Amino acid sequence: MISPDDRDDTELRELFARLRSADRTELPRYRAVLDQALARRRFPASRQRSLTVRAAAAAVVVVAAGVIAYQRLPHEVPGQSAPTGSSLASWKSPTAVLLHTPGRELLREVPDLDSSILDRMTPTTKSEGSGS
Amino acid sequence: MALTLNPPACHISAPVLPLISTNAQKSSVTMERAQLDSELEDLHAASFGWALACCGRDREEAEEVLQSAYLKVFAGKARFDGRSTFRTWLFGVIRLTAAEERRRNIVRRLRAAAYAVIAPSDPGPDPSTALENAQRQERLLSALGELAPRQREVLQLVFYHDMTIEEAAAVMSVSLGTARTHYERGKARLLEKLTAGRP
Repeated sequence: MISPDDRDDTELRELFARLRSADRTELPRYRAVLDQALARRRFPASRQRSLTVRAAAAAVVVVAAGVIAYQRLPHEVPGQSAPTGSSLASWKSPTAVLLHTPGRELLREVPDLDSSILDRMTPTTKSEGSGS
Repeated sequence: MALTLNPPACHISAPVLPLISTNAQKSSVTMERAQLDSELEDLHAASFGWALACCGRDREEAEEVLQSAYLKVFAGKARFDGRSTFRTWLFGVIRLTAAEERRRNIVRRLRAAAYAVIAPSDPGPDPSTALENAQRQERLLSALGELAPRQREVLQLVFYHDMTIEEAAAVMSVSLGTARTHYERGKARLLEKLTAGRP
């Protein structure tokens, strides 16, 4: 008499046997696997990756060094000489005129408490009045 | 057939690869290499099946694992010491190599987690039988995919590779008791899932 456990085992063995025969249809040739393994050993993917990474890093370093070196070089614009000390002192901005606004004097001085702002703006009128 | 080699017969002094050897070593290494070659070729189909199981049935990854495992064997990085059968030892090497590869490649690990279902490439003469077979196989793979990895491994080794639980324990590097527990629980769960999925 076959026990349920044995029957289960037989069923499982049968199922796995079918799976095994299905796997065999996809089996790669032994020699091919071995050849690929030896080829991989000669030039592994990790080494290939590391070479690529190293080449990229070297390229970045070279470009960065080139940019730094270029920036450090003295650059002279043709037709424009370096300014001397005196010319720097006398130099005026072309837009300095825009800083001269009407009534600018009022802002520069401290106002008198006893006088009108109009008196200072018209001094001649004031002196005439005091004289008469 | 499981062949047990004496430890010295399988030793290749590292880092000597069988294809590259000194003149003095050449004859012995070539002979050993031929022996190893023959053993590996005999077990190639079973090794591929086991590599498939270790890689979540990813064919491409299984081939890569097999390549790495063969390289380890030939380069002497993995040495057979004669404590078990050659097949048990080789399966252990494949299992460890698959674990290493999976750690290295996280993307592949995610792919492997989805236990892919393969369809048989030869449907056979009768379409209805072929369909039934395909469905049964799909159910089996789906049920296997739901098991814990250790349970799946032990069942694969016992039912697919006709190993004893003791041999499976050696491949999995666990004690016999642990392997037996995984086997019993795994088998019960697998049968439960297969029965539940039955029309």
